[in-house]
Amino acid sequence: MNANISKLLSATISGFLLSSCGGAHVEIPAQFPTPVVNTAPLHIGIYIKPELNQFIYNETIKGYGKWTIRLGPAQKEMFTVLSNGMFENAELVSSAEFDRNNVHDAILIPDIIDIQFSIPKQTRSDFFEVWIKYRMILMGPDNNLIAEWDLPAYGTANQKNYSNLQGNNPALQQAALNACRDAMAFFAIQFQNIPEIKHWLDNR
Amino acid sequence: MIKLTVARASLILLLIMGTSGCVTATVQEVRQSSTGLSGTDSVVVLGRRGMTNANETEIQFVSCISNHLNEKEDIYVINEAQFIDAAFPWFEPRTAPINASELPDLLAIPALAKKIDTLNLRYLIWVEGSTTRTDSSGTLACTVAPTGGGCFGFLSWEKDSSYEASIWDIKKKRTAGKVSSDAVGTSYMPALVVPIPFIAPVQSSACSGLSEQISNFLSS
Repeated sequence: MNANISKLLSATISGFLLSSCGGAHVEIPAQFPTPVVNTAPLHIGIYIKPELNQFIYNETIKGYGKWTIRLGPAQKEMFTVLSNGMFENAELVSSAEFDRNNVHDAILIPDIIDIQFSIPKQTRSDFFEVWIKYRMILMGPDNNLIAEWDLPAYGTANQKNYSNLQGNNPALQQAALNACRDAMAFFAIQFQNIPEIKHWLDNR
Repeated sequence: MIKLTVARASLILLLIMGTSGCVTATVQEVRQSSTGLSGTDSVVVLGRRGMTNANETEIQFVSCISNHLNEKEDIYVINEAQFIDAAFPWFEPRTAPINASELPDLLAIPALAKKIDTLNLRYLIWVEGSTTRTDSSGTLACTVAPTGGGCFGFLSWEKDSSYEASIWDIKKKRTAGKVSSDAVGTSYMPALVVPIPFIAPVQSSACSGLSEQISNFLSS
């Protein structure tokens, strides 16, 4: 009985120490809102590269431990929800190439080309901040490039909104999730105003 | 025996009386147009969160205002997170309107106008401001020894809550008015073996003052 209590106590203390020391390992939840925008009359295929699907960012900050942000597993859901709100038809496809039976007007290929984050101790603030740079490619039939553009996104979360006992995880997770939402917002609003896409839509 | 009981009772009374510090709160209102709520109308309280994050309004404060308003019989409040998701992406830090003058353009987007109509949203309440520690003084030292431990000293700190709520009328597509609340309070923590905090409920005073004023503003 005493052994159980001491085990429980040591587990609790270790858990608390781990959470209160530096570092965090987070995965963003695959829960995104559908954009409320006027839908474009397009049938879009979304190709998620295996590298994007497994995207994990690791960084060790001297004195503040190891940090991991798993963005990959949520990307399929993120781009599916986003495209379903923006286009008349959207679905995931298994290849970036058009084939003879392809019914799509275009294939969207997102990728993460850069990610950075900062912790409150680095910026002497209360905020976790995450920057993600997406590169978006839109391929047309005959595999011709319609447009290629970068999508910078930024998310922040105030550590004061979370209990100290929870450690760094919830605030970093929220900042990363907010960066993904920012990418979605920017994409949804900007899409039809990108000159190459505007030109393509006008000439369809 | 009686003396001991009196001393204990006095100590308990002192503790009960002194568990909170003093707070001075002021509320102000500027009305620009008439207001009113019908049975089906709803309101949403949103914290102002920009891309630059200095003085971001605390999530807890926005929830506090929403909860206070929701307790009123004639006001139906939509949860902040649920509204932001329902109107995505138009109320994200990158896209949220800064002035009520942007409302006509925003509501000209058919998909968004339809969504807002479905929610029966009549008033959008933007809350801006924060609670900050403005002053602190004193020292407190604690020691732990095998024979026991204790603290000795005195700490005091002052907090200032300053918030402003801009009330936008969705139907009229303009600002209905502004309500602001300022609260200042000093908390103390004397320690003679055991530290006893006397916390001034600065933020909660600002919340209840602002909520009450918003409620009166909407229904008058």
